[in-house]
Amino acid sequence: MTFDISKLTIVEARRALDAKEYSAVELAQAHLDTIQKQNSELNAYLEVYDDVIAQAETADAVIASGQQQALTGIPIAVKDNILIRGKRVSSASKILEGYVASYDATVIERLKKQNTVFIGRTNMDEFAMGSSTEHSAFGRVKNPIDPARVPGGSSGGSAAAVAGGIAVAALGSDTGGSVRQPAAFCGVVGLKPTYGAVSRFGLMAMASSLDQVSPFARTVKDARLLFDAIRGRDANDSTSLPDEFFATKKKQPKTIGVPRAFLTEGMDADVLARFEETLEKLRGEGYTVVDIELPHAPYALSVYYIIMPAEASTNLARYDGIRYGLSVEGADSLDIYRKTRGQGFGPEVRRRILIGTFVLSSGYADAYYRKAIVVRDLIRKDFEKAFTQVDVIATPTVPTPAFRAGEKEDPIAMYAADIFTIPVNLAGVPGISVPMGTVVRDGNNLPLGMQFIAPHGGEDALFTMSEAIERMALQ
Amino acid sequence: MTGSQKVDIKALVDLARLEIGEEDMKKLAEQIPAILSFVTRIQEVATSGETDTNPAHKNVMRDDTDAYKPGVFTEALLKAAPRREGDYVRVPQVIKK
Repeated sequence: MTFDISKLTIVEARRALDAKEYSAVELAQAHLDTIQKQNSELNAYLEVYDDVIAQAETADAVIASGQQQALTGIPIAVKDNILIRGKRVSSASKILEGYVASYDATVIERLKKQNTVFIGRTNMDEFAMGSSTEHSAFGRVKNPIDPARVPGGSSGGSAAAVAGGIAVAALGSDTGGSVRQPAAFCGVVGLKPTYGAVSRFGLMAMASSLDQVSPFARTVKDARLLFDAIRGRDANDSTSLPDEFFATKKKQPKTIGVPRAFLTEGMDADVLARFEETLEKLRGEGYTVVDIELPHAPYALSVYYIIMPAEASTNLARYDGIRYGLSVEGADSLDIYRKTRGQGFGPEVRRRILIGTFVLSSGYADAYYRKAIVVRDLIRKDFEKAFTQVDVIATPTVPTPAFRAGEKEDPIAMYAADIFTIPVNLAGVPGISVPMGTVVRDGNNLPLGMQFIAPHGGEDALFTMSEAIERMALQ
Repeated sequence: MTGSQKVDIKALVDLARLEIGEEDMKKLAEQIPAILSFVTRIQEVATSGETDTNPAHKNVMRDDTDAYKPGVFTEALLKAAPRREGDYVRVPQVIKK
């Protein structure tokens, strides 16, 4: 049987599966067929698993028994830095060549309990370091809307899979915008949960104080379903928050704050215009829109490019060619480390390891790393103060639409793509990107994202706001 | 601390246990100081000594309890090792005469 899966939502698939209009196996097969036709062009999947149909058969048995849950039989894609026991996983790096995960990430364990169908692992910037998915060791991912452009990154494969019609939803990880930015560039929904909302156990660590596993979906409702399935306290991640933390938070926001002074650097005029139009419509819906100040936000990019490389250089010290992954022969252990790491890591990863090594080194740690931690705290306090005046904060997710592949060769120009998303990770608050219309470039309607930010634990407020945007888009 | 930060790239590469070819070293010699002078912007922010010693972000450690039974994961983990001898990861001789 054939049916259109390109716009299928979790909600619709659930209805159809439960009504027995098609089976989980048929749904999975439809995805495999489409991937067969489209993936060589998009390069979204690095691997399609060989047991997709078997997973779907199990899901069908669960549905037949009436024990199904929200995600039973739903085909999703998983970023290549999340561990699934017995499956290869590489963070799109040569240094993890041939590595097979020895355990399930907590998010995977939770999805397996629902008999979600994992289609395959998606391409990404190596070790999640990048904003375009051009830093993958296995070739760049193309934006499904305009293949000459990037899908964003680092979770570009997951975003392209959802936007390109080859996964109903997907998991990514967001350290400085790696889910929200590609969601904006590809025209889908991406949620970066509160730091601690989702367990990081089994997510390959990049910057541990910033990383969060984060869902991609075609609708806000779907993003919420996936978030609800993976969230929750986990004894294996000591930074995960107790479930009660989220219970008392405000669900119905009324006041939207706009950090206007911050929305200047590198801002595309059309993006700003679309943003203002969207705010105007929200005013029409009865929301109050006020200006707020985030005085230290302009320093966020600098703070981030100290803290993130510091943590990443420490986390990536484990890849040494001794216990797993690539191992290049050498005269002694040190020689094995140096050769393995030199050949296994790509240019961007090496850059960040070197920056991290510098800012942590004796003589510089005070001026860079420790100072950055203090400024990070000021950024967090800026948000705290703003949230005494407003319920949510709105910005464009990215200052521009998707850029062309090869356009940002200068590392610092690439880093600037995350200027509006990075402060959110530094403060640990939740943020969401939801489509807010398009701009025309080279004859293509390129999607844009609206970012909403809420206080810690305020995901419900983000969903409420994003659903308002979705409704307005339909009118 | 403004302008270009002087950096000994070779020393950093050694500290980070990397081996990098000459071509790439040349690029890094330009890129690393440029990135560092970019992030040096944070020096403009006035901060008091008080917050310096009491940051909001602290490491959270898990209690070291509920240890796994020995041997449960031995095979799964050793299977990933590039060089193995019995139940050990084999490494080159560390201490030399």
